[in-house]
Amino acid sequence: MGPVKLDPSGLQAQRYAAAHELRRCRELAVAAAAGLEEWRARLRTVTYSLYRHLAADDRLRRLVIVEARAIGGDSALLLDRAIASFADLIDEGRAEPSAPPTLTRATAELLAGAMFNELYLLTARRQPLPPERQLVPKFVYLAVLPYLGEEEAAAEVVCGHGGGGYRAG
Amino acid sequence: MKRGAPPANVTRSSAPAEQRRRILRATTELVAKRGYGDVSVELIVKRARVSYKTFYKHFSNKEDCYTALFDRVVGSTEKTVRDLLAEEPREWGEQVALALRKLTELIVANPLTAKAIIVEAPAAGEGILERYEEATKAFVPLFREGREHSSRGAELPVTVEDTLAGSVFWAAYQRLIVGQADTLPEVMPELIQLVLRTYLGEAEAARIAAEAMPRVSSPA
Repeated sequence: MGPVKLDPSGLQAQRYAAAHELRRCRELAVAAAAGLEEWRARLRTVTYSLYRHLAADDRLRRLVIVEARAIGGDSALLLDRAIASFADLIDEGRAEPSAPPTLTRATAELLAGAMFNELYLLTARRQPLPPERQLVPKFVYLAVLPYLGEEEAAAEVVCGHGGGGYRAG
Repeated sequence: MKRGAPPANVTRSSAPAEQRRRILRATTELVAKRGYGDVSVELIVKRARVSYKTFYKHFSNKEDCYTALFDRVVGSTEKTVRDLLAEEPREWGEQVALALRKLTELIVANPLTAKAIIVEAPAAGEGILERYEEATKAFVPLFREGREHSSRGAELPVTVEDTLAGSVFWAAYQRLIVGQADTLPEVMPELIQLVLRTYLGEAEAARIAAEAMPRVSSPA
């Protein structure tokens, strides 16, 4: 057996780690949604779960949100798939009886992308994520609004997840 | 033409401005086509047909040059939209639709410039990120005026406009990265509606979006 050749740049390791973490995010989202019949409950639970996961570790968040695209390999593709999967979840809102028939998948893609963009900017500038009550109720509000209307969306802002009774910032 | 020699119609007094314009043009094209990380000062001076001395007379390095480009494009775009909105009084919702339509037109007309700015800025180092964030939030003040037209204005999440403005950027980013800027108008009715429904409700948002930008699939 010859000498082990190490990857001096660490790029391969970074790609592996980013791909691994992105797969974990996907598994986390699937587990969070399991058993929840109602679309809105699934959307809310997945959004909070992913946010908590990403907020818990600054280095991990930077790897999956900022560096995954730059380092290439599978991680860039997995990041795009992760955003697309979240858009899929939002897009399920079109099956709600109150959803306007004119909506297309574009609305869900815009919403998922806008949320990613906000997390990207915070992470790229090495700022800590704000407490979840400042961002997540707002995200869920915006994701629910096109499909369930103002009254239902407003409830997400006032109640938040778990009945915290706070107002989103 | 010899490298560094100005075109025949460039006078002595206009030469520095012409050189700067050529350098920025070359930077735009190179960054859009190769990505910021793969562009060097060497490539810029070759493409712009200027000497290194001329480049460094205008800019201290590649990042300084890109920052100048970023500021020029963002400043010019914001001015174009601002001037358009100032031309005649309109209802707030129509102003939003007009601003988004104008931005779309500018991106479709200049896809290389748009790609060099919207897609590549994050790769240009942490120094540019604050500018990038400011640019993504350029529509925030205009959107925020919508609160005055909403019965729920005071109850809306405080930073909802940041997310809505991010959706505008994302719509462009997603298409520019795959070289499909020309498809951006297809998503604009839903983007206009996404912003306006937050303040004006579904029906009014749909009406303004349809009038501002008829769906591409609609019969002409």
